[in-house]
Amino acid sequence: MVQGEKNDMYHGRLYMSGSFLCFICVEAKPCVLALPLFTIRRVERMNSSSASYALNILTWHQMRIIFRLNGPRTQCEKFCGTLKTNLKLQVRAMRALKPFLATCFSEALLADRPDIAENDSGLGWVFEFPGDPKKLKNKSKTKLWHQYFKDNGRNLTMTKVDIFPKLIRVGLPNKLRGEIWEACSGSLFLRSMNQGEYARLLKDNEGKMSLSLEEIEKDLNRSLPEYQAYQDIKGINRLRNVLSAYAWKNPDLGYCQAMNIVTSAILIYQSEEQAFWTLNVLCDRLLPGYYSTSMYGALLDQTILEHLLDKTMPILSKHLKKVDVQLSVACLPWFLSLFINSMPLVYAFRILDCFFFEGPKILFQISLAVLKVNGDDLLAAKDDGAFMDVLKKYFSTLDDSAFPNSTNPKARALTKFNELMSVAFREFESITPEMVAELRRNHQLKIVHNIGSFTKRSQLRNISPGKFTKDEMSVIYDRFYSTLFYGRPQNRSGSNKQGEARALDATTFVSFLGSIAHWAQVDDEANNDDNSANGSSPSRHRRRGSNATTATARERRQVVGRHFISRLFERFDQNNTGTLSLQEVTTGLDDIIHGDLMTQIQLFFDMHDLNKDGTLSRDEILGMSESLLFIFRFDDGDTYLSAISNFIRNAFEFAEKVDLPQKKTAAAAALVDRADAAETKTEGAETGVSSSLEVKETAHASKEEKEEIKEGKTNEEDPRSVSATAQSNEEPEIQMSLPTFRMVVLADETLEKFFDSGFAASFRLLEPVDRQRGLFAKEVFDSLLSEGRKLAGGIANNIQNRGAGGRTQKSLSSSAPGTPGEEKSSAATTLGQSSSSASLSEKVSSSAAADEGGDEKGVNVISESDGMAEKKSATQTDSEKESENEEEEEDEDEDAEGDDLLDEVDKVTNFKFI
Amino acid sequence: MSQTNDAASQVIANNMKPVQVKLVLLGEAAVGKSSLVLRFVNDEFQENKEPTIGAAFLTQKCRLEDKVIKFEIWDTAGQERFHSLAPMYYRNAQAAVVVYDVTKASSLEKAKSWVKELQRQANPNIVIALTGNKVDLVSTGRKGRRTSESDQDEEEEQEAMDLDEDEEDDEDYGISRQVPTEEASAYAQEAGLLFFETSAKNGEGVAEVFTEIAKKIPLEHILSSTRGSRAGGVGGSNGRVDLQNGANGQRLGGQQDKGGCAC
Repeated sequence: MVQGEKNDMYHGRLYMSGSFLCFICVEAKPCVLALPLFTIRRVERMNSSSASYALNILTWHQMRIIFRLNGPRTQCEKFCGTLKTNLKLQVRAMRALKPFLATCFSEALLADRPDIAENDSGLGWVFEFPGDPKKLKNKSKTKLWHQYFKDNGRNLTMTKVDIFPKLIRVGLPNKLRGEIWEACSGSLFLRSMNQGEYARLLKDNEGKMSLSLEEIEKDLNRSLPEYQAYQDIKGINRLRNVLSAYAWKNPDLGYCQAMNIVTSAILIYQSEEQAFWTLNVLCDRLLPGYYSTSMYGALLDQTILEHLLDKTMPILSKHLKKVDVQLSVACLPWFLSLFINSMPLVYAFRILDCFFFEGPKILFQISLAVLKVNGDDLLAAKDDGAFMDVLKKYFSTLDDSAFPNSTNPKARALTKFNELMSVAFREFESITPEMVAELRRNHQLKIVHNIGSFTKRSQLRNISPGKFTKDEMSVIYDRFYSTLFYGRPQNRSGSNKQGEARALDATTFVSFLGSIAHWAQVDDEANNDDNSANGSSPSRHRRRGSNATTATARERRQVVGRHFISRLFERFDQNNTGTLSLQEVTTGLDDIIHGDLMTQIQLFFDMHDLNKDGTLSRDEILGMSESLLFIFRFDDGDTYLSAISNFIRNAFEFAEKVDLPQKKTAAAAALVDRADAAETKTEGAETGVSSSLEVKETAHASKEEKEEIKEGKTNEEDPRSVSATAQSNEEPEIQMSLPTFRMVVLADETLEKFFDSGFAASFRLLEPVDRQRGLFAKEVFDSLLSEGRKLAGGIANNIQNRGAGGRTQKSLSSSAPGTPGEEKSSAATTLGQSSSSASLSEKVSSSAAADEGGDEKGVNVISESDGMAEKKSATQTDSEKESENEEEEEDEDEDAEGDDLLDEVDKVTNFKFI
Repeated sequence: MSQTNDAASQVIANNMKPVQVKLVLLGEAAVGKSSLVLRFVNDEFQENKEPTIGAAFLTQKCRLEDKVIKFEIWDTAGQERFHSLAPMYYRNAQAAVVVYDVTKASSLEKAKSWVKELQRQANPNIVIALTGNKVDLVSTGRKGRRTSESDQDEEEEQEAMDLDEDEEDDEDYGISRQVPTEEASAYAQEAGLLFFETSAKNGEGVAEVFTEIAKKIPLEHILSSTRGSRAGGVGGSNGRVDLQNGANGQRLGGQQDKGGCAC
């Protein structure tokens, strides 16, 4: 590859996406280029004598770049074909190029035009830039860049070669700073491809109000107030516009204090629109989660900083732990406001220069360097106060000589800031973007968990716990929110509804109850039956009966169960909202679990007194027995069955007879007989589960029972029970009052025990309910979800909105092990689109990441190079064999994903982090 | 509290070494927390104070009878999303100033929730002062008519709440009070808090907040507890720490010279 007249040659990989051509050098010499296809004026195939294939590309800026493709001819043909198609699709975008370039100062600089329009420039143009331009060597720096642009292209077509990082590290010249920030962070591409969006956001939302806007308004006068422009309506308006536009674009994040500081700083060098897109890159990619409602990203990076401190300066790290100083009390503001309000502006901007080019690793490098340089003083600090003082003092003396006593005048001239930068880059060189990305991945679950537990604590504080202990409340909370999050599969792929769910509805209540009481696991029952079929005697017996019956019985049982639970739901729902809040659930459970025998009896009585007449009719009594059977269905043994048959017998015997006494008795007797029959049978081989089924069916006198019930008895009883049903339908003839019910219950030891303690004990809070539901990951994300309400709305929304729908969520719920894999593939799918701007700004060393993507998807990897190259050639390397298939895949991808590059970029980056 | 105290405590009676008191400021965004601190520490007022990110840290010494108290002040960020960071700052605090804005009813609600959180989560002996700031906004426009209107105060406040005015129209001189003194003070009494109304702008009431806190803090208890918990060993290094503090003190030196500080 060649640039201008310099004829430099680089070996590397070439990638093509729908709208970008990207080149990353694989040699030690860095060279990165992301060329938007719409900046290509012309592509020619070079006549070349050798077998190799060469493309001569002329960019908008009249720069010639020659790509020499090494690989099978067919493959090269294919590449060219795709390039041609893609280029055609870009014709429209090309029209927007000219007006866009008019907003780039580099154009004016090279064309010797005096300047660019005021609206396209930063506040510094009018209100002057911070610092003394002479001292900053502004002129000579501008000259260097002038030359660089000539040699390597500018703005959209700029190639980043080895001298680029050096030019960045010495600090950018004032008027070019904004544009180079854009070029480094990739926001330049966002802006060029979304022209007009900023203006539209402002226009569409004109006159609207929101909480974010109110918050912004409060801070407008307090953002870099010392800078002249912010004592002026012009500066204030720009700041308001940019922050509001972002809040409209990303309402989940809205506005976070510290954004005002960062934005007011970048507005000195960038126009409103530039700053807007830079802010986008900051919030979405460079500092993901920093400004979200939970600020999890900032907390995460603090954990990572602690980790790095421990690795690099163990003595200091131990000391801080010993004296109980939290690193983040000092360092969090550095990260949140990018050092802007921690050190003098001129220096903060030098750090920003590097930050936009090299990414968030810079923040770690600088922070660690600050700690290192002040190591001795910090080791002497015994509390937060002393610790903070050391650092405060240090930052206020960055201007001072680092070696005031040196005899060497050059050394004396070095400021503490120079020293800081050199320590940062030299001693913490090992901190790479990959390392930061890796650490973020490794620590994120912990953070999410901590935030979750914070929300949990603060919410539990506001719940009156009744007689529950802290641990029990914690379980209720976990189950409550995990049900909210997982309990409604139909919503999973859906939009943001669940983020708002704060109460259980009737359906989710069933799952909730199932998570704390085994008997309430209605939905899973089918599985239970099937699972337990393997050799356990109860089901074998049942198998002998007809399958149809079993199924119907199961259905019936489910209906009974659901009725019972829904009546419980109504009872819990004290204010009749149709939903249960955490408080209502807590109170409801408290009443049951900590209720005594009498309350329990009352509860069951009330729940089954459907018409609320204070007595149980015959049907209601049967309903009660069904409910009891439902609850006992997992309990082996016959005690419960006989208890229930006793119950029915006694109930009918002692209940007040209202009408037609004989008939009723007969009917009752019939039922009792049936129950007895079942019981007898049970004494044989049958076990609890299957018998209970039968009893229930008996009680209901339903037809299906015929099949299941064994010879003899069935025939005798059938007619009678049918008639019993008939009668019961005709006339409600018995009434059982609460005292009678009590008496009936107390007459049976098993029932008494059940009401006294058994029912309460069926709710298991502290031990797991048969099947472990609360996997760690689930809990993490359920707490996460729960805090969606307040704290981590941002996260939850990221989960729902940004990720590729269901896929994202799946990977999230499968948690730690799932995440890396998922991320990789997602990165691969989008790499075709995103490698350009992403890798660009993630800078040179992100070639590794790009490689990864290339391997996965084969983004037009052009094969092996022998590097024999004429003087003007660029070569590509990769393993030949796979590339053909891969290329095809890639083509499809391109077609499918088309222009939505930026969206994709957003997704990838957001997703990566989450 | 830290080790510095043990050395300090041993000599306090004679040498007037300061007792360190960790104090945290909490409250809704833009109620004037930082301004209160700035008034207390530097006796200054900045019209447009930058919002605090995370938290700011300042110190100020204060004389109370025969003791010198060194307040270590953590001035926290007010925006809701910074809430989760607050525990980091209020842990181990002996005192808290919970600030609201007398011209903004919602800020008192936020203050109440802070008080609740502190009472449940912070140091159990924490001394909490509820402070209604920005009284200058309501008194300047009103001083003249105050006498005649004092009876109507409450009605007016009701109105103000209904109007729910944007607080931005400060220029409009007679901004109305939304939180009646009686209401806030009754709440403070009920919740067992110290109560003040202040103006960071003109300094009204600011010093009292800190003096009263200093009076209420069980200094003897702090001293004896630090004395008990830390054995001699660390004494050597304490000297250095104090030098550090001294260095810092230079910037605050102005106040100390003013004779026993602002209090």
